Amino acid sequence: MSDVNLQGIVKRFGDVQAVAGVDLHISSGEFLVVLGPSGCGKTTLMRTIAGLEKPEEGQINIGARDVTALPPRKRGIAMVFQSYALYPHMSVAGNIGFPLKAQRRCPDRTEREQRVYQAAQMVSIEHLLDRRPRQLSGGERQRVAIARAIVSQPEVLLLDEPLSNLDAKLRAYARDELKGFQRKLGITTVFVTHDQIEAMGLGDRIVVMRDGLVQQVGPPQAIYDRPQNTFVATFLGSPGMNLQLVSERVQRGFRPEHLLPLEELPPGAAHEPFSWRVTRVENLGSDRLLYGHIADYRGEMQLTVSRLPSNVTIDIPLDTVCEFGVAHDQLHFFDVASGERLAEGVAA
Amino acid sequence: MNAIMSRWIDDSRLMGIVFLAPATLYIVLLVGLPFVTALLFSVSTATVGDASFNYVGLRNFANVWQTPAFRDALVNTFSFTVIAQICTIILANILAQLLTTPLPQRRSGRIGMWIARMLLILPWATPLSLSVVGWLWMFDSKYSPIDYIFRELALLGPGTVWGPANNLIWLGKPLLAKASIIFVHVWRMTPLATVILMAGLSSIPTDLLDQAEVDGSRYFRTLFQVKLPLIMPIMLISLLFGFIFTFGDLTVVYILTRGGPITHTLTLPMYSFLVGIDGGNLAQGAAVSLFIFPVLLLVAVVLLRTASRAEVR
Repeated sequence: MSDVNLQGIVKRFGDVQAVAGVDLHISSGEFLVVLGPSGCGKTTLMRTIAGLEKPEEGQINIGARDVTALPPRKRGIAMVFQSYALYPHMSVAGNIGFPLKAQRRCPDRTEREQRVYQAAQMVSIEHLLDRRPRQLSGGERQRVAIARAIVSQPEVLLLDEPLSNLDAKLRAYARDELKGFQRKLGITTVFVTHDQIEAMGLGDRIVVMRDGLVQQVGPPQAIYDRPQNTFVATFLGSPGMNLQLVSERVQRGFRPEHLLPLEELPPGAAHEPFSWRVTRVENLGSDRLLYGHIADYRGEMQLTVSRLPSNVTIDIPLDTVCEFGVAHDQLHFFDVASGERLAEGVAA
Repeated sequence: MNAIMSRWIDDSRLMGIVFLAPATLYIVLLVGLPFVTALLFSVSTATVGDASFNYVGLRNFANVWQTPAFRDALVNTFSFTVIAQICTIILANILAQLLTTPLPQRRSGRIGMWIARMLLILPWATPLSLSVVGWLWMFDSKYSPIDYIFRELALLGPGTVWGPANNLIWLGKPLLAKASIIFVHVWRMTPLATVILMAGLSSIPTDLLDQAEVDGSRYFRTLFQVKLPLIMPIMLISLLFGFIFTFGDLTVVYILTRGGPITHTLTLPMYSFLVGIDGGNLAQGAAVSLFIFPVLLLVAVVLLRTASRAEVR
């Protein structure tokens, strides 16, 4: 197991900067999630770590080695693609054994078969070794891809949206399994996704990317609780943070779950009051989403969302002015021009 | 009037017949009838001068089978076809690999690739009879440019390895004549095979090739264990296409050697033409050509089955 260090990585395609200068340190054994919307450069960043793309600038270290100029096979990495990229003409055993043969690290046939079996056992597919990929379900294919990735005992495991081809129910299960499995192996893992739930649930730390740049790095809860800018604030959370202009230079943000009826606020907490009309209610079972408009400092109405957990049973009449509030410590302030978070107190 | 028209147009049975009729007519008149005629001729005594039908059973086939020229033609047809296909598929694979290799994103590279691809397809786009006439000159016994190059390289002529003659006489010596015929077939079939293989190669998902690279596979392992197995069905189709074209081809042999020297480059289509048309013995000519039929039938069946299976994958 090794750590990974990226310094000033820049990758261009023609005139487009897919990765525009990324510094990142991934600790040994860490599960790092790279999160961002499509086109933000997260996959390119991962392919650069893998060695499938050569960066124009910057340096990549895996452990103590500078691997910037090395081909993928000399980097000690393994990768699982979104499509799983199983070789359709090989059996499951052939697929899992392919890296061992290709890297010539395991010339002994019996030992190779044994390692293939062990890898298959690790993801509970040892009964499928003779099958062809097309005879497998989506979940089984994903496991084959993972077995193939771990069979050569890589130092770093790269996962490119490996769960996005699974149906929703299976995904939650696969998430749990993947995490448990990564803990067991203790392998340094980089996981790319555009799904914030996956990111929040899996990552030891999350890297939020946009337009080829890192927006924020940190543990999931810290990023959620203290977003560094308005992009992170609105990208994370479902729905994202409400934003509201409070002056020409400052906007205020608060999460939907913090906009609550006054009587639901912690007793005695200092709060900002909001009077608004709820125009639509979505009942999601576990939550209620309330939609309405709140005026900003210029008097312009802005769509605002409140999320009430199901244990808040208070009746919300439509199109009637209701008294809501947000606790002061749940308010976030951002610079309007840059979108950057303002230090506490600056806004006030 | 309109009501009747629309009733006809809505009648899918009637419309089906109407739409299928041209193709059916074409197949019956231009393929079916000649085939039946050939079958009838082959069991008769028909000649160019007397097409009256006298049934003689399989006598023509037996007679033809015992002719040494026929045996030569049979062996040649198979060996030319098989050797030409092997050479073609190897060459086409190399070319397809080269022509699908990504180039640095430079304008000159893209233009160069475009020119290379266009040049490649030319032998296939030229009418066969014309290009074979061109090759006839290339293989000329006196003025062959190939011989000229060999002479300039001091390989041919008095006092050289292949001397002392000044010419190799390509089409006059059995082995060279055979090689020339095979060469022209390879030259002719390689473009199509290359294009088919290029299509196959570019249909391989890039993820799969990236995966092979990440898995640590180098060029030749990726080529032989990933790329080639994946394009195998399409390669087989290209191979069978080439087989059918070469096996039933008359043009190349007819223009270059007419089967000579003696019968060294005689093929079944050529022999059938010589016996049936030049020699006027329609019955025997038909019998010779019918020997081609089962082979082509078999190949066509394999071809169609492969094609349908390749589609499923």
